[in-house]
Order: sequence, then structure tokens, then C-alpha cells
Amino acid sequence: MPSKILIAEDEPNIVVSLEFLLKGAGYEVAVARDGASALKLAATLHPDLVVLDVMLPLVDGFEVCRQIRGNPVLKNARILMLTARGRESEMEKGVAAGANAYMTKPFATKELMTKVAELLTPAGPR
Amino acid sequence: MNDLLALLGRFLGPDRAQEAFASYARSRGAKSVNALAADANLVHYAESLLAGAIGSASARVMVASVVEEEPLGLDEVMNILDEASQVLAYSRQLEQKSRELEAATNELRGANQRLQELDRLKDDFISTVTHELRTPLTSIRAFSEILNDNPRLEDGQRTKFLGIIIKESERLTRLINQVLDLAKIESGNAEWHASDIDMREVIEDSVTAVSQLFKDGNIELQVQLPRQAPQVVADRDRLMQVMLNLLSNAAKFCERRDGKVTASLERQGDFLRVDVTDNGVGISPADQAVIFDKFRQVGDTLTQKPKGSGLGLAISRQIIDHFGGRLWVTSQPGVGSTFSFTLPVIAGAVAPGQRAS
Repeated sequence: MPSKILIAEDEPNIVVSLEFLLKGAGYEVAVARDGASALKLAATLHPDLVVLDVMLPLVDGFEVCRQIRGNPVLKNARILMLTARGRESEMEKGVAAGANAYMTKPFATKELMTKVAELLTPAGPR
Repeated sequence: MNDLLALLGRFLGPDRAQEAFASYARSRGAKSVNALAADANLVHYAESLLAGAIGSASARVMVASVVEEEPLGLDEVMNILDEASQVLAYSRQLEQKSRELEAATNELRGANQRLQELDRLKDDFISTVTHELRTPLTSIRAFSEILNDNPRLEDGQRTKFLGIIIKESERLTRLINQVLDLAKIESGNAEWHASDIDMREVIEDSVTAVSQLFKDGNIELQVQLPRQAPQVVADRDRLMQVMLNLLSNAAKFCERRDGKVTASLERQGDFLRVDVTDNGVGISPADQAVIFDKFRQVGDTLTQKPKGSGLGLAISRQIIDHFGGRLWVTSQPGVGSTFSFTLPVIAGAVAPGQRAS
């Protein structure tokens, strides 16, 4: 059974690229375009991985991250945060909120795919 | 004698008083302070010592009262009052000075806070610019790599991805230009080409420029111009920029079947007033307060419309400000918005060849 990935991203074209890349690699993909629907979708889908943008409308990525971490049902979900604000403080904030990994936009597609595969490996970084 | 010493001791301190009397005794050849007689010379000496501390009139009266030499005269009372009022005035001056110092300190503190605030705003601005630049670049890079790594993509997909790269490159270019433009205006380095302008022409030209956009969005665009209008002094290209910004914003937030935008011009006293009214989604009062700030966009993240740069209104406001006018918005959520600006008219001037017949 393919791993389930939830993309939480509000930039339509970035969503198109992520969908293409992740579906192309055989993952099952769902998309949420704001933080509130990301939380709703995560609760019903139980994704293995959430690719989470930081600056989401309605509920920001850090908060989405904290709420997913606070939900025992979702305790196995890995979280890869993406941000267009390349600041170290942001990265620390993401890690503090419970993200497993953090990447800065623009990302190299190969690096992103390697990171995704790593996070979905049972022994992968937690 | 001891009374005099005690009196001096209270004002100068016992040690200094004792010492002063001892040196006086030595200069007089007396064996000790106690051998001194409370004669006129000593009294005078005591007065002069005391005068340094409490003023000469007060010293004189005090010494006199101790040696019981003479009764208090009217002159002395007057002098004491004078001294007292001088001391009072002096202390008021001190108080005033200390208030001034305090005010200056507060001013400095305020200036420091404003500097810190400016610094923070600059940081925020840079952080936001960074974010806004990285976002289109993310799509450009991702799709370039996808196209590069997938030479056998089907034509439809290839065309779509290339289209995204082109669109996002345009967005990036626009954004960079606008950031530079705004920076130039804010630093006072923008070039302004002011001339006498017939605002009706500017409105007509801008409406022509956006007509395709409105046709594509199926939005009705109406223009209401008076038969004559006084001229304004402004930069024509900059006014076009403002009109295009307001009209394209109106179109963007007017995404419904009976979308309708009206651009109108009227004279209001010494000003020309332009209104761009739409029947779009409207803007909440909280959002109205921030949409003229840099990078503050509202409503478009949920409608999935391609974002603007978030700088258009900030630049427009700077332009209208520069020519002595005002740009503002009135809006009711769900009903629509009106963006209005004014420009001062040139006294007595009516656009040449445009006079009412």
C-alpha cells in the first residue's frame, strides 16, 4: 500500500509541482489549501507524511504542526515543513512545533524527494 | 558666644564652625575660642560666614538675634523676604530645568523606540520581500527541474508547466520592479515628470488598457466623466499606474456573474475626485485599515486567484500623496468597495480644447 501524503500549501502552482512529483513517485496524495482544512483532512486521512507550508491562510503551519502533534491519532505522521522565509529562527520554531524536517523554498526537487523517502522509511528520522 | 557658635554650627556643621572661630581667635591673638569677646568684629565675621549659606540679610538677622544686639528692622525683614523669594525663584528654575531634562529624556526615549520600531519594520519588510521573491522562484525551479528530468512528458503537461514557468517569471519580474519602484519613491529618489493633466484622458486611457481584462472576466466597466474638468499637476504615467492598479484590483475582487465596475470623476471644491467602485466581495473594516500597507493582501488567498505583489496600493498611495491628494477606501463586505482619490486642481485652469461649448 502506498504511503499517504497530505500537501498543505496555498500557492496553486507549487501544489501542482508537488502533486506531480509525489504522485509520480507512487505516493497517494491529498491537498489542503489552508491550515484549517489541512487539520480536517489530516484527521480523516491519517497521512503518513504532511508536507506543510508555514505561511498558510486561516491557521499557520506552526499551529497545524502543533495540533497534529497534540493529536494521539496522528502520532505516527511525519511532518516536513516548507518555508519561503529562510531564517534560522523559523527552522527552530518549526522543530519546536514538532516538525521532523524542514526545507527552504525554493527547494531542489531531488532533495525534496530524497527527504520524503527518508521520512517515510520506518527507521527514518523522527 | 556659645550661642553664636551653635548658630553657625547648625548651618556650617559644628566642626567647620569651631574651626572658623579658632582661626579667627588665632588672628586676633586670643588664646582660645572661649577667650573671644562677642564684639562687633566677631559678629561681622559670623555674619559673613553665615551669608554664604543662607544669604546676607538672613545671616545678619540671625546673628543679631543671637547676640541680642539690635532689634529687627523693616529693611532687614524686606531683605529676608527678597532673599527668600530669590531662593524660591532659583528653586523654581531648578525645577523647570529638571522638567526640561525629563522631557528631553522622554523625547530621546521615544526617538529610540521609533528607531527600534523602524528597524523592526525594515526587518519585517525584508523578510516579506524574501518570502514573496522565493515563492514564484519555487515554482520556476521545481518546473524547470521537472521538465529537465522528464523528457518524455506529454505535450499538454509540458505546455502547462512551461506556461507556469513563464507566468511565475513575470510575477517575479513585476515584484522586483515594484519593490525597486517603491524603494525609489520612499527614499525620495523617484523621478517625477509633472505636467498639466486632463484627468478625463487618463481615466479613458486606463479604461482602454484594462478593457480586455474586464472582457475576459465578463465584468461590466462603466465610465462617468463630466463634460469639463479643471487640470491637475501630476505625472501622467504615475496617474496611469494608479488607475490601472485600482481598476485591476476592482476586477480581481469582482469575480461574479453580474460584476460591475464604475470609474467616475467629479470636482469637489479645489480638488478633483476619482472613484473606482465595484460590486465585488468588499473589504472588512479591519482589512481596510491595512490594505495600504506593503504586502498586505486580503481575500485572494482563499479565492485561489493569482496574487498581486501586495505593493500596488502602497505605491498608489505614495503617488497620490506626492501630488497633494489623498487615496482611501470605503467598503461594505458583500456589497462592494470604492477606492477614491483626490488631486488639487490648478486654480482657474480648464483643460484646453475641452471647455464646455
